[in-house]
Amino acid sequence: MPVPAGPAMRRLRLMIVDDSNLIRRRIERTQSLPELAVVGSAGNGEEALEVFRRTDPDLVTMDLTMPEMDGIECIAHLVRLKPEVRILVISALADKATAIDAIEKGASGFLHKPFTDRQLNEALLELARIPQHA
Amino acid sequence: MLDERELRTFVDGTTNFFEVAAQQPATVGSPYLVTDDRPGVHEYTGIIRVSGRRSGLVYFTAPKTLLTVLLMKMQENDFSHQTMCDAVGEVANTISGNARRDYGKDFVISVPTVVSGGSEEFELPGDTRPYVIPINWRSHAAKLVVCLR
Amino acid sequence: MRQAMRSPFMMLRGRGATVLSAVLIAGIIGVVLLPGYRLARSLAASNTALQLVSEQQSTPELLVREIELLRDRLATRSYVGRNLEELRRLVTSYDQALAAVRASDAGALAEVQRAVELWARQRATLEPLVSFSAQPYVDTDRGGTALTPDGQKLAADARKAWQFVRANTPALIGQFERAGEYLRRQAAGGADELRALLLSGVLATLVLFAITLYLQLLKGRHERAARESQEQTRDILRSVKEGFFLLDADMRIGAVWSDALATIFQRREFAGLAFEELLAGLVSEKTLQTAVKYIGLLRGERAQEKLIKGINPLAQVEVRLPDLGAGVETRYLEFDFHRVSGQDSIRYVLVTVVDVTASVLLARELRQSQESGSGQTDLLMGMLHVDPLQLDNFLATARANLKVVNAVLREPSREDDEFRSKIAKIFRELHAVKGEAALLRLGTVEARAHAFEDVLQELRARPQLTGNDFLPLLLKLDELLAHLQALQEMSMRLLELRAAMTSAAASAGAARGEMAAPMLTPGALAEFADGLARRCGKRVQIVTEGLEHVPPALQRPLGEAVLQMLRNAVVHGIEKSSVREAAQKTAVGTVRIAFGRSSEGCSLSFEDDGAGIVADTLKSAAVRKGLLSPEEAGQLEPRQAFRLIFQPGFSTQEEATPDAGRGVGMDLVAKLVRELSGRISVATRPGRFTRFEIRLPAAVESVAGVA
Repeated sequence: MPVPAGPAMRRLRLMIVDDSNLIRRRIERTQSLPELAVVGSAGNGEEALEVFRRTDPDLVTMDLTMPEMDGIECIAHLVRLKPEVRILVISALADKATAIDAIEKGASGFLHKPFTDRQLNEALLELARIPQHA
Repeated sequence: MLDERELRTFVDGTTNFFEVAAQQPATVGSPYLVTDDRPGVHEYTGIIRVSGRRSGLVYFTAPKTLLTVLLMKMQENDFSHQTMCDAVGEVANTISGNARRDYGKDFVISVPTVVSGGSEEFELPGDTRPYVIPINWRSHAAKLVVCLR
Repeated sequence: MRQAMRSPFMMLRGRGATVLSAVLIAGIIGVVLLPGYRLARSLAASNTALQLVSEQQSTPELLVREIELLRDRLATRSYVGRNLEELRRLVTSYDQALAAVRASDAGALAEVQRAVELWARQRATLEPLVSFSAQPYVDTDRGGTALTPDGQKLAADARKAWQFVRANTPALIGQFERAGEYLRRQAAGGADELRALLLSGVLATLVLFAITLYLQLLKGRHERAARESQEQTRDILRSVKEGFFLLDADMRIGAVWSDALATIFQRREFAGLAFEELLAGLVSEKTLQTAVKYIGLLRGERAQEKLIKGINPLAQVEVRLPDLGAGVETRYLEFDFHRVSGQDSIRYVLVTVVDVTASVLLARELRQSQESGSGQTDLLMGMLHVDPLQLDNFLATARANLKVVNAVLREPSREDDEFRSKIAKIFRELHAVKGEAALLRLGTVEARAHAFEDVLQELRARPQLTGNDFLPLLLKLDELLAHLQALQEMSMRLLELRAAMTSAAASAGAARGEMAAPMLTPGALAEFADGLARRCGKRVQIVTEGLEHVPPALQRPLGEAVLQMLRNAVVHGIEKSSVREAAQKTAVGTVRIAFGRSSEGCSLSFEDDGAGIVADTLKSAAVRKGLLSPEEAGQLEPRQAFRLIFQPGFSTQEEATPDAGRGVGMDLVAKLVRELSGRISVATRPGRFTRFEIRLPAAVESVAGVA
């Protein structure tokens, strides 16, 4: 599977949104994707929007339960800003209706907390391989 | 009264966290009831509140030493108070996620809150016998307290 | 869905053959039929021309002869009409023949053109002859028949024509012969060409036929293959246990589905049915909406199928379906959704439905069987036959046993052998509870204790034990405690009810001069004391006095107090037979319980001939429990020390046993007495006796029932 469309060797830019520093750093440490570069992270929805505008990421991992602005609302905002952004919801919140709401708002997938490094890698790879939409 | 499946959901959520996040499973110690006292807390406690078909709270409480080793195993090198809170909150988060997955339509589960410094200033539901499940991880002891009716 | 996927290779060959045959047909029309038609037409024209040419071959010579005849006739003044007519005929037929030749393929030949020119000139000289219509002769007297001027001119013209025609005839014939030669050649060539054309036409037709035949065969094979795969699909759809169907863009069910679907949903028609209609009324509106959203996510291309599998809201759902009769039954279904992609978009969502009711119900039954018999009615029925005092006693004992169980559980442990020794200890306690419950025929308690024991047995058999294995014990313990609590509450209510009934009966009975049956009976107390003594390895007898005078309103509080004191006396007071005998006392201990009434109220005296109470023992126990400091204890008078036993949480028993009050002994009695506004006092002599005196004011008799 080739790296999604874009200039040759362009690394995919990843933003991490999670209110736990711990989780943020764990995702940052993911070494699986050489074509992945973490360009920013945020601890709540408001901050996420600000970082997003500044760093223009291609991929986003998103927690759902956060202070200030919750994840679902934040997803809707991000997709409005950049329709082709791909968002992976990473949350312990396994209530299906909420997860579906998140996907409906434009996220591409769901990863359940806690996760192993392997599960995280696989999910990020899976996320990176979704073809770009115009 | 809780059934075994429900109790296991909480216990598995806890042990699962250690297994997945720190690649080292936690074991469950001999569980007991608290009949005329409070179950007690360690330095950091992550609490989730449950309402719906069952009501009450579930908390995971651990001493600083355990959390320090946990963070080390997670290749973390920040051992600040905030990170400790994050760690214990993450365990609570996992427990609540597990419960949502299994009982999403029966239980309403709150976002975890974290208290530290051995503070036990949260109210337990009356007329219940809290379940205390000691969680042993490496040489450290933490506990999971399930207090639901 | 194999039938839908015809081999693209076959399709290409089929299409190629069709194109080939169309090209062939066009080729036959363009290359064979049209030129053939044209060729045949020109051949026919050439043939006519050839025929005319050969017919008119001799005409020029005939013309010469005819002109000679005409001149002879004119010389002899004989009739010329016939000659002229013949001339005209010859000229006309030659005219026609030449026109035909000119119109034929030979028309363009130089020979023919020269022939035409030649003939035109001959024709000009012949014209006066052909067009002659006057009288050639005139009869005169002198010379007889003579030529008229016209006749003379005719004769001159005839001579001129004869000269011209005779001179040109060989050339004309020559030209004509050459044209005829050409036409013959032409006809022969045309025929060859036509033959070749016809042959190729036949060939092309044969090829066309072969192609048609081949196509027909191909089509037959396709149809056979399609039929076969259709049958196989049908077989699969008929025999799978899962319900399969496809949902189109409008979330409607496609034309094909597995037969199992009909069994699962109890309906026969599915084609075109909307998914929402299928599930309407079966699942909650909220679940349905969530499911529709989920399918929407699958139809959209944004979400990754693999990454949203975990949030399928219909992974397992409870539905209410009509059963085989007229009723409704609850079933459990598992739905699975898969994208089916077309060339560039998601065309369908493949839905798989499995009925998992059997396994879900089995799991549930297992759970429920553990909780069976927990209903209130069962509870009530199970305890009605037991004497309330005995029940009370039993409950206190059982609670104490379970407290020991919990204390055993609470000891921290990590190793297998630690868990194993716990099982043994817990077993002992539970066994006591179970035995006691069996004795009192408390089936609900016995069943629970038994189920608890079963779990222990099962754990014992496991090769390796961890705290995880102990989780069921926790639940069983909690359940048993809750059950005892429920029994306690029920027992209280029952006692209140009985008290109310006996007081009503007493007032009714008093009117009739009868006594109500008292509850504090010597028999019940003796039975209770016996059981207790047996467990402690002691022997005891009960002597009572005036218990039949206990007013109904005091039955319960005094009953409870007596029970506690009795338990205390047997456990703490009465010595074992061997000890008693060594101390020159009777082997069987004696407890005296006496009730009396006076004008000031009533009193109850409780006395055992046991070891008595030693003040120092009480003091040191109080210090150990932190109730007193050693200094305070030292300053305490013996009489004050005795009062320690009325302190909450005080017990001198070192080791916890089921019958030991564990600190809820005399403090409970003191509390009961306080509630009745009474007083309690204690008198004791080490090695001889302990006596409690309870005094209650008169007024209390009537209000106690309400308290």
